[in-house]
Parts: sequence; structure tokens; C-alpha cells
Amino acid sequence: MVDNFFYALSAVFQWQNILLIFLGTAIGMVFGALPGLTVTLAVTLVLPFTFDLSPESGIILLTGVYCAGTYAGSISAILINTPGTPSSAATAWDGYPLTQKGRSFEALSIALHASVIGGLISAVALIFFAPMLAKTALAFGPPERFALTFFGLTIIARVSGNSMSKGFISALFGLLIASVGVDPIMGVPRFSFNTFYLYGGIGMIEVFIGIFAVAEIFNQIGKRAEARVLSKSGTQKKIMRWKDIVPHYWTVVKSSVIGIVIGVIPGTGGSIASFIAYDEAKRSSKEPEKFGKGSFEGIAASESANNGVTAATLIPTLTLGIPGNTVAAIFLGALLIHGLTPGPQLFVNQGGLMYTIMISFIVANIVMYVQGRFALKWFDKIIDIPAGIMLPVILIMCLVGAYTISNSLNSVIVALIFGAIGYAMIKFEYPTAPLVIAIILGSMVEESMRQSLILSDGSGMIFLTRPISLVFFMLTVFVTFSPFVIRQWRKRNPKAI
Amino acid sequence: MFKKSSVHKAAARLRKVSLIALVTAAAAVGAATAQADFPTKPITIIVPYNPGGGTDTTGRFLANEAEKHFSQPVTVVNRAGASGTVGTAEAAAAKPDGYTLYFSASDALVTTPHSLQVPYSVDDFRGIVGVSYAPSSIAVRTDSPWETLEDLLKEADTDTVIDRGHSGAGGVHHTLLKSLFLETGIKFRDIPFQGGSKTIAALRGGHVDLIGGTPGAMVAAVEAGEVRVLALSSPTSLDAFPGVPSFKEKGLDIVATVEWYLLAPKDTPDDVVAVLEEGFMKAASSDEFKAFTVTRKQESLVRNGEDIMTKLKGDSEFFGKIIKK
Repeated sequence: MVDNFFYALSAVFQWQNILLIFLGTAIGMVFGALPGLTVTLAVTLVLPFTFDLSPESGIILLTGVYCAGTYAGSISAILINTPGTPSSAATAWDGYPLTQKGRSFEALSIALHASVIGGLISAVALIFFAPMLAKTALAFGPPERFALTFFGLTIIARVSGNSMSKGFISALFGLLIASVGVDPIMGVPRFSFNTFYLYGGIGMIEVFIGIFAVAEIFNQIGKRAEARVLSKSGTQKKIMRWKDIVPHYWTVVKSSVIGIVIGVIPGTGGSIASFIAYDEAKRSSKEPEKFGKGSFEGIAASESANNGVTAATLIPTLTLGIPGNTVAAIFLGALLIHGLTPGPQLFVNQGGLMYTIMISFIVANIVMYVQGRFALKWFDKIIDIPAGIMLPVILIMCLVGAYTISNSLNSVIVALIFGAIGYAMIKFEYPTAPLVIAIILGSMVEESMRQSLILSDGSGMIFLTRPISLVFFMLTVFVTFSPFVIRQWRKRNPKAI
Repeated sequence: MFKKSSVHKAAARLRKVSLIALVTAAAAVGAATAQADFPTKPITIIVPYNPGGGTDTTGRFLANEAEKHFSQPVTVVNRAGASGTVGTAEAAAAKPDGYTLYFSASDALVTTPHSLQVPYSVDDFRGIVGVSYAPSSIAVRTDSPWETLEDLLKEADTDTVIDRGHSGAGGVHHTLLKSLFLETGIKFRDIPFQGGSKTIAALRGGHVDLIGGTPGAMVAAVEAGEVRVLALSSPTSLDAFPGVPSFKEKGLDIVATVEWYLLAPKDTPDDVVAVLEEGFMKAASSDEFKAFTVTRKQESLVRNGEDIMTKLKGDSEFFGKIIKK
């Protein structure tokens, strides 16, 4: 192990490879930050260039793109309400309100700091715990996955805003959308109206582009009178330092760990991690009422969790061959092309390369911080551009982004339809967060529940007799009912707080 | 090991490809008379899956090799969606001028039309070249009581219910399991997963007893001593999997393979197909390409246009019969 570690150190710290990390993070940051362009697209486009490099250099370049791209998704989420990846959806909930209050720079800075810490903790976890965590991941069968995703769904109740019933309507609509397409168990098409484009279901990214970005553009156009997208107050601090994140350090560490744990579970990915971390931060916060209206703590939770996932999700990718998200899937493709086969033996047979990946994660996060410090001032200027110029540009980029997902106009149509739906939701004050959570988790909940019930011949006891699954159900009960219990208790004991 | 420069040339073109496709379609109207000089413009290959996967990388490698044999570029465009049906439908409906071809693996064309309503069938295509194949197989954990296929077959007369996993309803691997369990009468619960890797993880984690899937994907788990492959669905046993028999060798008439192939819309003229077949046969037979298919855990087997079509039509009939049961 020590040999491999030093081999990896010497590999990463060659000047060519350090240069590649700088290049990779710069590419990732630009793609992540531009609306409609995603980290997935960045990694896809960079991948062919790695064929000319050694496996080490290739992986190092991709790592840079991946880390920075995942972080930079928060930039467009904060500035223009368009999460570049599903996992920065929760960042938009607080980041965009802050931008509207003229505090975008602070929001961007918090996101950067939280991302870097999350990424570093995740990389360290990858180094020390990968083989052990891989074993844990295998313990997640259908019942465990159902318990986890069901727990994720209960978050809907707490992001519904003022009206619980509107939140539920929004969530049910999301579950309905998630059920479109060929069903995961029997292979029967549902709600596809024989237009076979819908056999594959409604694309998640297209929906997000519609619900978040297109709807927001419609909304801004609707307001018309305003000369700018946003008016800046000019009162915000222009310099953020590490000490600004100190009040949130516990949130950041906790969220990073949530990101790592969930990242390790095969096939769940980063988005659920940031939702759970966000929810947990809100639950334990001293100012839960700020969440959704511009809470720095919310951004810190969401961003440290989704960057906590970055390295951790490589554990199931490398050891089981199951990528946690689309970027990890392309990573996997890159490894295969370089002749490496994912599997339990990878850490034994290719230890040097594995440590190279881990160390390049650490370096990439540090480089990302340096670049972020310089780049944020420039990104922040995006919102100074007059709306008359900015809105059409964003709209076009969003639609181009939707097109690149499947190289077809169908995706553009989906984005526009959901733009209209999203606009209606804004106007009638339906929260979009429950919709997003339901769409992301819906198919996972359904698939794992049906698999479990096949295994148990239809008995629901399977969810309670397996320890991991039982723990998640107890957690679900706890977080759902504890607010009521606490409220009751406070009523009876008004003095004891 | 790879001829790399052309790989990223192809990918750099990825984003221009839609434009090229448009131009191709427009120019095709004017060029229909000049078949003798085929090709006079870039050839586009539709791959119905996302970039980076097994089928995509194989298709791209073939395209790069083929460029050496044509005066025009050969580009791959990904039309992913709905388990490959979107791209397949588009390829079937493409203008049959030889400039739009289709590279894919069996599922979308051979099994899906039997379980879903899709606007195409295997008869909408004609063959250019078959490049490789992979068998399906059944596998168990190494701590399983079934050491061999015979041990498993003995369960036919018992009350044992086997939890069997596979990569998705209606696919090649599901069909293999279906025909095995139908033929032997062994009792089962059927649990589909989304893709082969998740199926293998479910087996390793002890969530199912037996899985059907590509043995190539299981090599890592086999080497780690966790998984045992009991039988292959290729006609004979294979060098890559020493000591593993095929079903056929054990007296069960079950042959199910995933083929990789390049096809054209069925009305593509004979002289054009002849030119394409010559160039792509050379590409598929090159040592570089064969070596690549081995790294993707495929068995190299080059078939000409006629042979691959005969194979696919036979497969389609075989899978259709089992899927409808």
C-alpha cells in the first residue's frame, strides 16, 4: 500500500500532470457554470483526448473536469436558477433567493468553500475506506434501497413551503412523470401513447432545464418592467474568507459524510445526498425558517454533500462496475478503454493507479479552490448584464443544452413544455422542490419496492426484518414525527426550552 | 495499442454531426444518380446508445478502422433513448442511400420488437457486416450449493424456488433464463435489475441466487473468487472461459448470443452495399479491431452481410417464440 501511495504521489506531481489538473478544472468550471452545458457533457468531450495520454494522465485530467464541473453546477444554480446537475438543485433553492437579494457573491463563495471541503473529505474517505466501503455497498439489496429512497421521499414534506397540500400535489405530479415509460419490472410501456420516444421515460435533465431555467426566464419576461435580471444592492462583502464558513463547519462536515455514505451505495448518486443533507441541516438548524429563502447554511449543506459524493461514488464504480451517476459512468468507460476492468481485484491489481485517482482528487480540489477564488469575481458579473441581452442568451443555451442530451428535438420540446408548467407553478405558488425530488426518486422507489416484494412473495415484512432497511424506516418515522412530538412537548412545558 | 488520433477526430465531430446529417439528407436528393462514385460525402453511423458504453466504443473503433478504406470520413452519431429503440427506429427510416448506417447490439432489434410496439423490425434492414458476439450465461456465488449445471438441473424435482436476476425484462439474458426454466420446470422468482452490473452486484451481495448475463462482465468477480459461471449460451464452450460448458454440450438446446453488427436500411441499392461491405469487412477483419473487441469481452467473429442477416432473422424468430410464451 505504501509503495502504491508513493508511486501515485510521484505520478500526480509531474509537471505535465499538474498542468492537466489545472486544465481539467478550468474546463470543468466553465462547462459547469454555463447554463445548459453540464459536467457530463464536459467529461464526454474531454474523454477522447485522454486516449492519447497514459492511463494516469488521462484519469487525472478527467478528475479535474469532474470535480470542478460538479462544483460549478452551483454557479449557474445560484446566479440564474439553473442547476447544472440534478445534485445542485438544492443549491438553487437558497442560492437564487440570495442572488435576488443582491448577495450572489457571498452565496458563490460559500458554495466554493463547502464544495472544496466536501471534496477533500470525500477523497480522504476514498483513500482510507474504499475496500471496506465496497463491502458495505454490496449489502444494499432491493429492500435496503427502497428504505433509503423512501426516506428520501419524506423530505418532500419539509420542502413544501407554506402549503402542505400544494407540496403534495407537486410531488404526486412528479411521481406521475417518473412513471412514464417502460416499467422497470415487466417491461410494459406506461403513459407512452405509443410515441416510442416516451418508452425511455421523460428525461430528468430536460425537465430540470424547463422547470428551473425556462420557467424563470418566462417569469422574468412576465415582470417586464425591470431593466435587469436582478438589481444588486452593492452592500455585499466582496471578500470571503475561511472564517466565514466556520459557523457552518458542523453542517459542512455532517453533509460531507452524508454525501460519502450515500455516494457509496451503488446506483443512487449525488442528488439524493444533497437533498438529505439539506433536510438534515434544516432540521437541526437554529434558523430553519431561512431555508428556501436564502440560507447560507442550506447552500453549504447541499454543496458539501454533492461534492462529498464525487470521490465516494467512484467506490461502487471501481469495485462493482456500477456508476452512481452519469459522470462516473463515463469515468468507467475511460477505465475500460485504458484496459482496466472494474471489479473487486482492481485495488489489488492496479493499486498504483487507484491511489493516483485518489490523490488527484485532493489536488484537483485544491486547484479548484484557487481557480474559484479568481473566477468568481468574473462569474458574478453575469448578473450585471441587462436582462434584455441575458435572458435570450440563457434561453438559447438552455435549449441547445437540452438538444445535446439526446441529439433530438424531442428533448427541446420536453424542456419547453416543462418551462410552461414551471411558470404556471410559480404563478400559482406551487413549490417546485417536491416535484424535483419526486422525479429523481420516483423510479428508484418503484423499482426497489417491486423487486423486494417479488423476493418476499408480496410480504411487506421484508422491509422490517432486514437490519439496514429497518434502521432507515425508523429514521423515516423519527424525522417525520419528531417535529409534532417536540411541539406538543413544548406546549406542555413552555418554560423548558 | 490504439490508433488514437482518429478516435478523437471522430469525437470532435460529434457536435457537428447533426449538421452533417442535415447536409447529407439535403445533398442525397441530388446525388442519387452517381452511385458508381460512392461514397462522395461523409458516411454517418447511428449508434442507438450513449457515448462511452460498449456498443458505442466498438462502433467508433470500427468507424475509425473503416475510414482507411473509404475516401470519405465515417462518423458516429449517438441517438440514445428508450433502450436503443429511438436510434433503431431512426436508422430504419433513414434514406436508403448508404450514407446513413446502423451499428448496434442484438437487444433493440432482435428482442424488443417482440415485447414492445416499435415502428421497425429486423426485416427493415439489410446486412453489411457482423463484427463480434458475446454469449449469455448463468452464474451463481461460489458459496452456492450448485457446483455445476447438473446440480442446478436436479432442482427440477424439488420445491426449491430460485431467485433469478437479470438485466431487464425482454432482453437477451432474460430470454435465456426464461427458456432454461421453461424447459427444466425449475421454480423461480424473477427479479429484473437495470443493467448487467447491478445484477452482478445483487448476486455478490446475496440478494438473488442465480443470474443470467454476459460472462465477460463477470470476469472480475470470477477472478476474485466470488462468482462461478455454470454454463454458457454459445453453441460451444469458449477459450475465454475455461472449464465452463455450453448448454448445448450438456444436452439443452439453448443458444442465445448478443451480436454486434453494422446494417443499412433495407432498400439500400446492391452496388452501394457491395462497396460498404468490402470496406467494413476489411475494417472488422483488421488485427487492431479484433484486438479491441477482445478488450470489450466480445468474441471476434466476422460475418458478411448475408450471414449476419440470416443469423439475426433466426435469432429474432427464436427470441420471439420464447418472449411470447
